[in-house]
Amino acid sequence: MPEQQIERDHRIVAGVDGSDSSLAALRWAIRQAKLTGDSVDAVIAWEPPAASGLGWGVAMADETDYAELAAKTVTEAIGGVTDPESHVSVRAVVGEGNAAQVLLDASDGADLLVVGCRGHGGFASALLGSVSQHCTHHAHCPVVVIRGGR
Amino acid sequence: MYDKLLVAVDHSKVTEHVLSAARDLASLSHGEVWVLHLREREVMPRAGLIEKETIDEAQIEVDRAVEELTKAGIKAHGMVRSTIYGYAAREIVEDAKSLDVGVIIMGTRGRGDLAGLVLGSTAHKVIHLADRPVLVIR
Repeated sequence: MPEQQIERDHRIVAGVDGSDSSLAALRWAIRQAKLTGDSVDAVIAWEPPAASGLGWGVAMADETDYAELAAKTVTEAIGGVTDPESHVSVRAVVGEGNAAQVLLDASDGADLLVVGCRGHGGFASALLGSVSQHCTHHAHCPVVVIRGGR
Repeated sequence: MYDKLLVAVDHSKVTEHVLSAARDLASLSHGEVWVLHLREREVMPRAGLIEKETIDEAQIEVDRAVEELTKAGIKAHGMVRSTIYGYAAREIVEDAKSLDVGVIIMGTRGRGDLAGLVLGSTAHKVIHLADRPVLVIR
């Protein structure tokens, strides 16, 4: 999808976090890639939980491997929505950091960024920032926000 | 993938890119495009409704868009309607529902970060109100 004079790399980035809306985004990205011949990067972000020291800089020991959990989530997501007959190349990408920033970085040079939207309505949507809103503000490529699970 | 597409145009700088995206998507999926322009009118005390553009100016933009899409071999329709300032998003979403389009395509006016966050924009309102995918072009 052309946009300004930026060189694109025939890649669609989909944000994945395991939620239904993110699965819908990945499904949409794969369908679009089938039309355009692009590849798909399924991108998941993880952040270590904030250390909750007791004023002494002491944090609870946490053996959880969040990167591995994220990798498992995105791999399962790809397996769940990919149709082997579609012949679309889908790559799992795991990034550490704020979800919106990881997506913006991953979509640098991409043709399209596809994100889900949790669908908070009314007052909640007015209060809450969201990854999709941040992406539509700051992305350097067109952004598709998937609503309604289409 | 998209039998029907709704494109909202508004004289902004990104309209060209919005139409380009619509043309590409519609061509790939042999879809039909509706080009919508909403003439936003502001209500001013004593002055009544203030129009920012004439109906002819709006119609020219839509006709040009329809012509461009038609030249690309796409079946396209133009729609020009008036609305009150601030109501464009819900009208776009209502049109998308009544036409049952597969995707809404629109630009964002690219205001600065603070203005965008504080004021919101038609695109962000559409994203919040829509029940179908929204393609936002910056």
